[in-house]
Amino acid sequence: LKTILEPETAAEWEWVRLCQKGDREAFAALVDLHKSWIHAHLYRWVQQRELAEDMTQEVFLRAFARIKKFRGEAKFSTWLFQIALNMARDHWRSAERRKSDPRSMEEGELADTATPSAETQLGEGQSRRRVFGALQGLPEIYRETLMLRYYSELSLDEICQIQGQGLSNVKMRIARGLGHLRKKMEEQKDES
Amino acid sequence: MNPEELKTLRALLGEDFSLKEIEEMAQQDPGLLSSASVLSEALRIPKAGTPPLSPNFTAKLLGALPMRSPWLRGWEGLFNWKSLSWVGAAAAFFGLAYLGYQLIQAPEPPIAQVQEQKLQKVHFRTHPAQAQSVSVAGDFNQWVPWPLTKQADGSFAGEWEIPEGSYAYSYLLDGNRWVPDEARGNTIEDGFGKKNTLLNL
Repeated sequence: LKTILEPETAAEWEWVRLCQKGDREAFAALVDLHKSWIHAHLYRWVQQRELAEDMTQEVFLRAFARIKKFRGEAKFSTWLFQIALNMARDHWRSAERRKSDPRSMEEGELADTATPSAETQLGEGQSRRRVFGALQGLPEIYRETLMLRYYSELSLDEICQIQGQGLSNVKMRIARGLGHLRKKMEEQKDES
Repeated sequence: MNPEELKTLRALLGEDFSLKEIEEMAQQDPGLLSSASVLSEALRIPKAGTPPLSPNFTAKLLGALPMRSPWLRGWEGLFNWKSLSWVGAAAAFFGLAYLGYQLIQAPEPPIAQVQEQKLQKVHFRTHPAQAQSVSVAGDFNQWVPWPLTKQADGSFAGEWEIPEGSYAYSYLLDGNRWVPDEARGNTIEDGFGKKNTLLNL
């Protein structure tokens, strides 16, 4: 995955500047540059193909609507990532309210990235569902930090930057989050 | 901790964690070590891949853009009925979500502990120099913050019944700063360079 700390190119800055003047071709260039990695993060966070694509579209629509307010204090990619993360936070919260059962997720969604063996595919699909379901039930601060660390593969420095937290706080969230995750998975196991 | 166990936990946590931190974690949560290989494997699975976006994604997106410039659309969008209905629906949703959150946050000691252990009323009070919100989190609530109520004198306070036992805890200021309870003293290292307060009931 693209790291949010990667520097922009001069061309990207130019596209942002043109886009702020309403240039749609420049916006299309920015979309083409960033759509894949934004979509990859969103897919890992929500694990549903169509929803991830819809959310990716919404990220760019929001970015286009707000790009005049982008002053360049943060990197453009970090700014986009924050929009995507805010959308994911809303999604996680609403999913939490609905208390959606991860077992109701479509099998195709869970198996479509698995490895060749059918047995492995089934086993991995179940593990994914179990871990993802357990993550949905964690308190927000721990869920998000674990998602960023393990699903988005961000470094601790990147998580500090995105969450505005110190390194020790982020480490603590990971440590406690893993403890919560383990207990949640044990609870699920007992229930089944 | 033997080298094999250390290797398993390192695989889960990554090189960013020092050996000392990993050992501290294993001591604080012995179950983590036994399940580290399972978690490590399961958390690695989502990295397998991402389905591709639709081939016409960018074209569809450009078609969905407003015809007018974005800043004009922003102002106009605020006043069309469709946006207002969305804003209304979103406000209602988050209002209800907030109420639900407040209900969920109501502190309740686990039933099993209530039956087995004697409860003690514990009063938490702190007066931080600069904080808009304060919560308390510790072993007694699995480190899920309980919000304290702001008092007329600017301090924050809350009272809960907690089963007898020994607990580490800290105050969480504005959702991002952990500080020990200076009034109670008796601090211990948390293994991450900060201190928690020890509460013995």
